[in-house]
Amino acid sequence: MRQFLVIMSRVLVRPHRAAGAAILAALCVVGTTPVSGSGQAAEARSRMVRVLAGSYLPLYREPSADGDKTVGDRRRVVATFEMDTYPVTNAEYLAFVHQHPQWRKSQAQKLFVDASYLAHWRGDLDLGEMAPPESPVVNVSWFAARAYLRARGKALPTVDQWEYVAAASETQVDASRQPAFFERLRVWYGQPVRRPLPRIGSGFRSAYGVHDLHGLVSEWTLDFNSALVTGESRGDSALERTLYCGSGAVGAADFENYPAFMRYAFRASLEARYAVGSLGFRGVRRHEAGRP
Amino acid sequence: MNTIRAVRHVLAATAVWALAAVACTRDEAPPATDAAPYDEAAPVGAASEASIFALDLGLVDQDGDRLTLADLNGRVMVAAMVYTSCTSVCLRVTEEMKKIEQQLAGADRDVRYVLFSLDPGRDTPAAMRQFARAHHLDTSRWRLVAASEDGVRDLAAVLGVKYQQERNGEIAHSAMVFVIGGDGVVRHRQVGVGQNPSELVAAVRKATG
Repeated sequence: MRQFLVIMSRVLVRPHRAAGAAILAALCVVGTTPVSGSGQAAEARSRMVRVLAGSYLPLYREPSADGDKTVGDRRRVVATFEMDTYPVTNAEYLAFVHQHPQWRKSQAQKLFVDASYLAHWRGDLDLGEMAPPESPVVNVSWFAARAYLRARGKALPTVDQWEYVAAASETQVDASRQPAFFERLRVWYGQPVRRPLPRIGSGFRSAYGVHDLHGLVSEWTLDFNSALVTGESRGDSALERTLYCGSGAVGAADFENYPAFMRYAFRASLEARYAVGSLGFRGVRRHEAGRP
Repeated sequence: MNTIRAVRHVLAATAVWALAAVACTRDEAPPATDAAPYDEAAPVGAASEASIFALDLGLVDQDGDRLTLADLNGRVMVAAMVYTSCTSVCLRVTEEMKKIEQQLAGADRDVRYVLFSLDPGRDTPAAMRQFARAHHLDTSRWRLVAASEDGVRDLAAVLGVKYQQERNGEIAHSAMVFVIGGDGVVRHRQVGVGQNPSELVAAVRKATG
């Protein structure tokens, strides 16, 4: 599992290089429609961006009592919310551990972090050369990310919120029917993580004005530990097997979205105390009427 | 166009395979990360031997009494996360715990059976009391407790229970039974139901030793 991204890159990139070129060529043709309205682009004023309500097609179908396997009505609705423009940086996290000593590298409870917690920092209050201040903080557990965001009056995005925003390309808020967009994401997933990590804003800017959702690091979600596929527990004794193996593919609603497959597989491999060198986070908060 | 479609199918199939392979090996292997040299020394994913009582978690039980997770210290706990309106696996989990109780009959004075609710919205003290009555749970040994919604997330994360609220009101979740020492360290974790409870019983005996 440590080799997850590396394996993914080998499995997915190498045999299909020619195909990749063909699909990249198709990119020139599609995906250039501008976003309607300018409100979405009014970004970064408060370093949070308003994401208007809508729906998206999740990778996995929910089980249905009637056995209906149609995809059309499986879209999930997401209410309006606000999302951080950028992932949380090393400098921001450093400010947090200054205020909350219990989350310093040497102090954090072992229940909440594993041994890789802030492994790329030089010390408790010393970033060092592998952790540039303006680069996204990584090697933080789910618990740590939650504690940080709580202190800022924010929360982790749900998988629904994250995937909803992640369906946007640079120009379209819903690029979920564009193979060329998936192809570019797939190419990114195949690339090794650069060390030290580049600064925020160097990745991808989506039509929502959200930066770096793709192209820099993966990000924690609030409910990463959801029982995400159709073969969940009720009435099922061989639980974990059915949960994560065969039925994962059977329950998929969208076989073409392989970048999403990779994200779901990655989430399924995580536990809340894991600190991973390519995994950071950003916050969301509920949208309140009247907030600019 | 046909070529592209065919290629896409190949890619999708590959991704399916990769997902299955990745998922199936997840128990044996540490989590996904990069192979950067500076964090190689860290044993990522080593089982937590930390006490769950480090989690600051407010609870309310079937009698409406308030307590914290740490108040459950000092006695070995046989525990699971369930919800009372569940109609299938939760009941089997509860039955499994009752079997353990029967096998330990007379020798479980220091054992507590705890059901943590996955459904704080509906699992009020009254609903939990009703569940205990319906399933003949002896509340001198059994305790049904509910946390806040946020607290449920934290506890599930600590225990490694996966769950998901569904639109039909049910909650998909991992069926797991835990033996937790009086110090809050998880001593044994059974995944799935319908197994011989002897391992769990042995784990309880060892923990109460």
